[in-house]
Formats: sequence, structure tokens, C-alpha cells
Amino acid sequence: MSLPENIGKFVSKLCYTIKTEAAVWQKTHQPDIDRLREERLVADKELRQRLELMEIRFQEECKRARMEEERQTEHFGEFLASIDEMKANMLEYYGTMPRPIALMIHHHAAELLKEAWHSPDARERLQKQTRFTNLMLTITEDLSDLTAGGAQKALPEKTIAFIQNKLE
Amino acid sequence: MPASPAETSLVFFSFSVVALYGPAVLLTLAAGAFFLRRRTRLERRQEKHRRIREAIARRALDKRRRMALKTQRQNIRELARLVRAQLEEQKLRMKPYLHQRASAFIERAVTGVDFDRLYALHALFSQTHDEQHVSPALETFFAEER
Repeated sequence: MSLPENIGKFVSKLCYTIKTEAAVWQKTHQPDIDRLREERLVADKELRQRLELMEIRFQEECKRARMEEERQTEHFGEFLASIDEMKANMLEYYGTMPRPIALMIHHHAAELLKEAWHSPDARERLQKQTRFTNLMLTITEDLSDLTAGGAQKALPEKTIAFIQNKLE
Repeated sequence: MPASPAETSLVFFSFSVVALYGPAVLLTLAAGAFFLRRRTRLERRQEKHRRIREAIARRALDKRRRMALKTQRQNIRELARLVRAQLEEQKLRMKPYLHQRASAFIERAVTGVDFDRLYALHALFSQTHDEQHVSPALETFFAEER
């Protein structure tokens, strides 16, 4: 008998054996297979349900996150506008104040605001937020001193002192 | 002419390897991919969700940064206008290359929002009225910058 014939016989014999064994095994374990198939269907259904719930939750979270970010951006814009307004008020109320000082105060406030919002460290962010609030309060105090009819000042002294204190 | 034994053995060795191990390897890979995908389907969805959240936060942060930059640019442009006026006033008192250098410095400061250095230049121009001192003071200023 030639070699290819031998291989052919061997393969057909192997296929037959595998088929027989598989059939016997399937017949023996049919209840188990059915049970497993059922369990798999249930698990698939559960998984699909979980995924659907998860999808709904994620969509809600994304929507909330978008709204929160929009709100934060709006607040940030309001703060920036208030800094611009503060500069205009200073130039208006302190008639003799050199413009570069008002620009310097504006720059300082904008830098503080940026740090207060974008610093990666939460503690530093809190510190900067407090400092920014204090700066704005000091500016308001200076301006209200001026409008209250106190002694006329050429410069917002408290604000400048506040900024210099940081620089030292 | 019959094939030599060496050739036959080579051919059948290759086919037998493919026939015996090929399906087994493919089946193992397919089963691995299937179970891996199944096991991590929830995780992959969570990961995607995390990436979307991060992208939302990043976009908002970029927008706020751009807003702040716009405001700061407007502010520094005002200062740059003042400094340019000072520079033109002092033009005849300084060496030409220093004038050019100061102009370039102002442009750079506006682009990079380097307020402190521009303010320092403004202070220098405000304090230096003496004709002979303008150029040395500017040279010292730019030497410090370097």
C-alpha cells in the first residue's frame, strides 16, 4: 500500500473515531449541555440588560458633566468680565492713576483666577481661590473707600499692598 | 521520475505540521479572543465612558484657557501700546539696534503674554530720562533677559 493511501485511511479512521466519540459524549452529557446552554442564554440576557442600564447611566453622567462644565465656563467668563469691569472702574474712579498700574492689577487678578480654576492640586486651588476672593474684596474696599467720601487717594493703596505682599 | 526521499519527507513534514497544529492554534486563539472580549466587554465600555468624560473636561478647560488668554491679550496689548509710545519717544536717544530689539521684545511679550517683563520695560522707560543712560539701561535689561 502506498504512503498517500495510508494517510487517507488514517485520516478517515481518525474522523470516524472523533465523530463517534463526540456523539457518545454528547449523548451522555446532553442534560448538562442543555443546562449550560440555558445558563448562557440567561447570562447573555443579563449582560445585555446590564449594558443597557450602564449605557443609560453613562449618557446621564455625560449630560451632567457637560452641563457642569458649561456652568463652570459661564462662571469663569463672569469672573473675567468682573476683572475687566474692575479695571474700568479703577481707571474711572482714580483719575490720576497711571494706566499701567491698572493693567498690572488686571493681569494679577487674571493670573490668580487662572490658577484658582486650573491648578491640578486641590489644596493649591483652594488657596488661590481664597487669594483671588481676597484680592477682589480688597479692590472693592478701595473703591468703596473712595466713593464713601473719605480722603482722596491717587492710587488703590490696599490693592497694591496686597499684590506686593504676594511678590515678596 | 520519483521524488527523492528527502523532498517527500520535507513536503509531508510541513503538511502534517499544518494539519495537526494549525487548527489547534487557530482554535485556541479564537477561544482566547472570544473569552477575553466577553470578559472585558463591560470594562471596555467603562473605559470608553471614562475617555468621553475626560474629553468633555479637556474641551471645557481649553475653552476657559482660551477665554482667559483673550482677556489677558487685550490687557497686555494696552500695555504694549503704552510701551511702544515710550519707545518712539526714546527712539532718538538710543542705538538703532536697541530700538529694533525692544520692538521685537514687545511683540514677543504680547504673543507669549509675558506681562511682568513688559511691565519691567515700561518701568525702565519711565525711570530713565537721561539721554546717556537709555542705551546702557536697555542693554542691561536685555542681558538679564538672556
